[in-house]
Amino acid sequence: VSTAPNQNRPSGDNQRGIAPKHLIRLKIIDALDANCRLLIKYGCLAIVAYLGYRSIAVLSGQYTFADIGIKFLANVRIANSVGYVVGVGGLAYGRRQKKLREDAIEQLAPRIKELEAQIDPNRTSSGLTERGRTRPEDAT
Amino acid sequence: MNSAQQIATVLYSVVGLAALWFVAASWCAYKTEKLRQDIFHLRADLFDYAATGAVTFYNPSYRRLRTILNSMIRFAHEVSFIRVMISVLLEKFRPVMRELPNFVVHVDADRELSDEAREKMKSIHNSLMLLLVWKIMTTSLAAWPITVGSFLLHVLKHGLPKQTEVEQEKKAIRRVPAPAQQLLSNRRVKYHIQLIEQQAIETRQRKLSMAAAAAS
Repeated sequence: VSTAPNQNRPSGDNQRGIAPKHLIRLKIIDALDANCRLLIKYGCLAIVAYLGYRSIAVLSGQYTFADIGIKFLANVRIANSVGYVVGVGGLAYGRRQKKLREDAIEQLAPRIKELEAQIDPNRTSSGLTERGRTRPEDAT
Repeated sequence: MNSAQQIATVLYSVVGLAALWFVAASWCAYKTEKLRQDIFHLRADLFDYAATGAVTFYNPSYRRLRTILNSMIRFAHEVSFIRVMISVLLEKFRPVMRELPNFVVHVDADRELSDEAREKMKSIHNSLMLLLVWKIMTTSLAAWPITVGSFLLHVLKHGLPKQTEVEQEKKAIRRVPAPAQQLLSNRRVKYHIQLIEQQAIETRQRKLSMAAAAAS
């Protein structure tokens, strides 16, 4: 969550008891959190890629891609193929369900908003996108 | 096993680990959307309650609670165990955020509210905190050993939480499992969850100000 300390603070800050030191602290938490999470997320991928590369690099030039490809496919055993199909099928099913859900949100949310606004004209919104996703500028 | 076979096995393992990484990322994304949906339910619950006339839509406590819920919906993807840990460590060594007013103090001071409305709002707020704790607990492997360890330490130092407090948490929301309710009876955990709320509110406020400035 990015919180930029700003000298020209809006008057609402005083009402909420927010001072520059609080904003600076929030900004520090924000920066540390974002960097730690990026490090964990992509650090793991980088380690896997590096170890894979080191294992293969020592044998470079001795085998063709075709040799390795055939052996790789040999590892994909027929007995396990049901598991692969179920796994990939599950992912595809999840994706389709997600799309269906987002389509429903896009279609139904404006109606709820409109009806609620008739009762409460000052109704405030969460600010997600029309499909209920994180706004691109809010993403880490 | 010859060397070509070894390379193939390594590649096979790398692909497997990458698939595992993808599944873990998808799980976290699902939990974020689940959290958002649950908070949407809380917001609808609050709106329906206000629509009965038990509290006005202009009441400051109502507006504040709605702002908290909106902020948490928007920044649900930022709720993480790492953020809580960073906040705990920073506040332990250099406390800054303690003087900020929290929602419960605000509601208790609101004389416009009836006792029933006050309890209802506290219950919705409590449910929100339980949902945040549960999201953190179900998206971090490190969260379990560290939290269980610190909970045991807390029990050794201060004894078990009072049964009445735990019962109150249970009444607040039944969809969230008992471990989250036990955890939230720890005041320090509650305080740091409120800090996450505060961060979300401030960030949303900044973004709205920036959007308004850009539009004018």
